[in-house]
Amino acid sequence: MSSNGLVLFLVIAVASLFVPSRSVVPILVLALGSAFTLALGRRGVVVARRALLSVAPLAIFLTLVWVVIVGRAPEVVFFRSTRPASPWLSVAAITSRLFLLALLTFGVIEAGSRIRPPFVFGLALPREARIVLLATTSLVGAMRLGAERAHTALVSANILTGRRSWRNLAHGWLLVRTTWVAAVGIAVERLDTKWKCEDLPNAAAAALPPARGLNARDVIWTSLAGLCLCGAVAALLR
Amino acid sequence: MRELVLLGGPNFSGRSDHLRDWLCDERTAGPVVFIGPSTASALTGLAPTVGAELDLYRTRGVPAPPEELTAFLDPRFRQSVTSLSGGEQVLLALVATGRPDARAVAVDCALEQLDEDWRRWALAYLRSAAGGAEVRLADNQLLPERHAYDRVLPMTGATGSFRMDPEAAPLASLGAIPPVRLTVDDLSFRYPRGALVFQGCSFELHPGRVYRLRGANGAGKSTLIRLLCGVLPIRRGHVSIDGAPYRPYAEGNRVIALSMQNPDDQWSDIGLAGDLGRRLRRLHSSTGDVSSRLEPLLSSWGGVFGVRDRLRAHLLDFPRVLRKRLSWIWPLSGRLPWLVFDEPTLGQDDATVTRLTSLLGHYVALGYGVLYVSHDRRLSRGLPATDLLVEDGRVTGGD
Repeated sequence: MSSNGLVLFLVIAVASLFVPSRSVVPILVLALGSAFTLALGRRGVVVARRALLSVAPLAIFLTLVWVVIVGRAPEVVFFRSTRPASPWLSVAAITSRLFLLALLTFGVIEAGSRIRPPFVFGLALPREARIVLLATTSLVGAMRLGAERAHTALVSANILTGRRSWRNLAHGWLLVRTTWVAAVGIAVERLDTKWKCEDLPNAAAAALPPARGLNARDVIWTSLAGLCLCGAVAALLR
Repeated sequence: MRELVLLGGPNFSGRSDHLRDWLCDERTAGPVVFIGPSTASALTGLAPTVGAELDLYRTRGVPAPPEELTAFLDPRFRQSVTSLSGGEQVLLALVATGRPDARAVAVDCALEQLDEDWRRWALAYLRSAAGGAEVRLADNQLLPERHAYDRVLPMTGATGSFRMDPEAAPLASLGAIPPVRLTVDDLSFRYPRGALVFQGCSFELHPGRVYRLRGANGAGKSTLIRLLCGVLPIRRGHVSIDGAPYRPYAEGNRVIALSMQNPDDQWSDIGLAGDLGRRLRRLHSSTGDVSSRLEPLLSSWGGVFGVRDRLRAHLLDFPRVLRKRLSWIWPLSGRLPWLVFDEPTLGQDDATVTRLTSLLGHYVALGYGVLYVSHDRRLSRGLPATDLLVEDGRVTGGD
């Protein structure tokens, strides 16, 4: 997918998640989730696993509260709904929405970060906005590198251990601070050397072709997301 | 053929400033390329992977990499640029210098990270690439190789600032250190989703000796040091000190004082005092009173490196070449029995290399062990060492 298609797909898919109709949510999640995972190709499995891991603790917590302890669906408790609602179905609806949200967000970040310069320059935005966006997203790289540096510095000095430990928990704040300082240092050095001398990223922006519209794949995926949104709205109005 | 101009002069003679100012002037007339000695100054920072970095070069009119570099870069196409070693990053950055419309190319001490074969190749490539760009180099090892450059441009900036004074080193206060023998047995290591770096390596390091870790760029020299320091986990194989099992990843490093290749990878604080203080506090947490040890240590070593009156300054306020020297203070403070240096002489002039080797000689005489990674022949001339060769996943040589 192109960057414009990916962003449009994300917007429509997230919008469909916010339509408050419970009955179609599992189908929506299934359709959009599997479509998106397929669209990402090999990395889709990694992204899906990451999304699942991030939502799993909340799913367990919600199951404990609403199924095991309360025994009734939240809408019955909070809104005194007269409709018979299964707590299982309710918890499944909430967590599957969150799962899809996590899947989409991680997926777009993954797809975008692997092809960062073309992704940003492909967006249908004014040139200046794209340059600012590219410079801003480059900070992600600086933060990653900063985190690596900080970890190396603190572990080699025996302040932290490489393995999980209580010491790491006690000194975790130090890792955050050192990462921040290292990332700022990297950004400053880059600005003062390579970027200053070569006039990056202005020079990179000037060399790339202008942003394009949607391609055929984008139209297919965004239409699918649009259908899901329409389905959710129709179910709500029925 | 491009003209290769070597900037002549010692550290702090204004070579780096000259290169940056020159490129900023030349940029108004055409494209320019800069390669510095670190990740932040060699690569664009805009691309997360090797492939994306090459794509970015291509959109800017850089032709496909030469055959030698293609063979080297192809297997690394999907790797993150930060997963490359220092030398590998320089090789990737060198692709950008092939741009035929480039007006000026500046290389600031970056080639010092390359092994001899790649270094020779890089100089030939800089000279033979298409276009009429002028290439200016700051390089501390190139001056004797007269065939490698066309002329020398002498730098006459201020010299003598931050002059290293080894006489001020507090060598008399160094206590006798219990000798520690390091044994590595059947070590294997692979990065997650990466290639096998080591397979069944075994070697032994004896105290009171100097070892040089040799090997091509990307062979795994820095990785080996990171394994010994506990930064990376040893999943297969064993390390022992004087026969007792030693697990630096799980227990923490208590044997090696490390000076890293990129000095900025090393700081745990924004200032020298904070960094050393934190390390000492960790080391002497059971015996208390760190400040009484810290102040004399800082004062003495601050004197050695000409920063006695700026011990609490932000480290990034110092030039990179000085930051590199300051990264030696931790091993030289003599708190741990093994002094390990990763490319210690990167960016350092001849006088400083001589001073460092003479200092290290004192430590060896006292029973400390020294292990260094370096492609710098000046260092091996001044500090004869037993070679350990890292090649094809194995470490050979030594005792």
